[in-house]
Amino acid sequence: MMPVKSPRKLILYVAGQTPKSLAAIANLERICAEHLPGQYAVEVIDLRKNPKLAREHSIVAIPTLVRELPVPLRKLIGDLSDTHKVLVNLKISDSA
Amino acid sequence: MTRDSSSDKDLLVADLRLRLADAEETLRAIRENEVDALVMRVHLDDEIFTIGGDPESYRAFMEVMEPGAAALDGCGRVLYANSTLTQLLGTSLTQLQGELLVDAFAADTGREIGHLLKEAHTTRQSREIRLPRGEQVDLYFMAMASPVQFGTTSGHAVTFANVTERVLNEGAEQREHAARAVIDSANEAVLVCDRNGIITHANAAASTVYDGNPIGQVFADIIPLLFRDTTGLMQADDMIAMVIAGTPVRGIEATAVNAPKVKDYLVSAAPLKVSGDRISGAVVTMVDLLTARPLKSSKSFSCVNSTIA
Repeated sequence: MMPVKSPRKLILYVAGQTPKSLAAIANLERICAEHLPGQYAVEVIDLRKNPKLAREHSIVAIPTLVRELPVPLRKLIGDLSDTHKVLVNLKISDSA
Repeated sequence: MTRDSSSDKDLLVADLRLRLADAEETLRAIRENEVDALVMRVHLDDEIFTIGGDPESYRAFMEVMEPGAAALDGCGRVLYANSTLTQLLGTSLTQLQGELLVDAFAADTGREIGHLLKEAHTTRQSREIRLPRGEQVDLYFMAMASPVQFGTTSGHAVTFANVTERVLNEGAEQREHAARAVIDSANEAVLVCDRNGIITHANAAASTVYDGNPIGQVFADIIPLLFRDTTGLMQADDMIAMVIAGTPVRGIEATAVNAPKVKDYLVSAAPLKVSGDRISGAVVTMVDLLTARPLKSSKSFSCVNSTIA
């Protein structure tokens, strides 16, 4: 029987085009392409356009990456320039 | 204490630990300059506040600048580029943002910009770069990079001032110097005319065909020529007009009736092209026929223009 793949979803909260928001988007794109191809559905939410969406995950500092699925939910704050830290926080080996 | 209440307490403790870890991580990220915006509650509504100022202010400034301009983060990624630069690169701001600026240029030019950014680590630096454009004339820019702080992010401001006209003018000037040197070193008389047949340059040997200063005078007026073995239709002004129209003349025997000493010459004339294909005048060379004769074939004259030959 084939193992059923659990759904995986990342949400990146940014604030318009601030330097760290742009860096976080570029770094997440790079990390997903190089280390997690096809593994995560990624959503980028611009809180400048809709600040209310910050409440869903209690976002205080921007940029913040939220691993919504699989549970438990994980948060990583910053521009995601430390690839190793991002991969560890996403627990790639556990959830692969 | 019941099992249920114990379990609730465990869940509460776990939740509090998670919240504490979240709060600590948020504080650490703020303290270590990893964020540049915060969500704050104002009158029950959430609002976003940018740390270190709104980027819109420097973007508006960059947009009204005449040169191409880009704001880069510490890695060389484009935070913002004005429309002059995006048009120059044939791309859009959306495509450029978040990408390395060096990747937006051809490999060699990108390398030059990479070196410039490294050099501008602490102080402003500049260097001239060339943008090849295939069959079109290459563009030249003075790229200038300065270290700058955008809010909480250290990076570079880079500008690209178009210096193509200056570079091309310098090139034309150098070529003109070289041409003058060649003309001056020639043993035969060399005279350069503009499109109106007025002499603009003449070398020292030109004194053999005209006794005086020929500059500013009409060639045909001061050096009337009688061409041998022709139909008689061609005079000096006809020759100049024909050359300016694009037909060069080679090795026609002629008599310079007003020449102070030697009067018989072998005359050649070619269109003058300073830049591009536009003919801006004519270059006339006159060789003493006695000197030239041993070099010449038995034909008395030749001309590339079939209407003369």
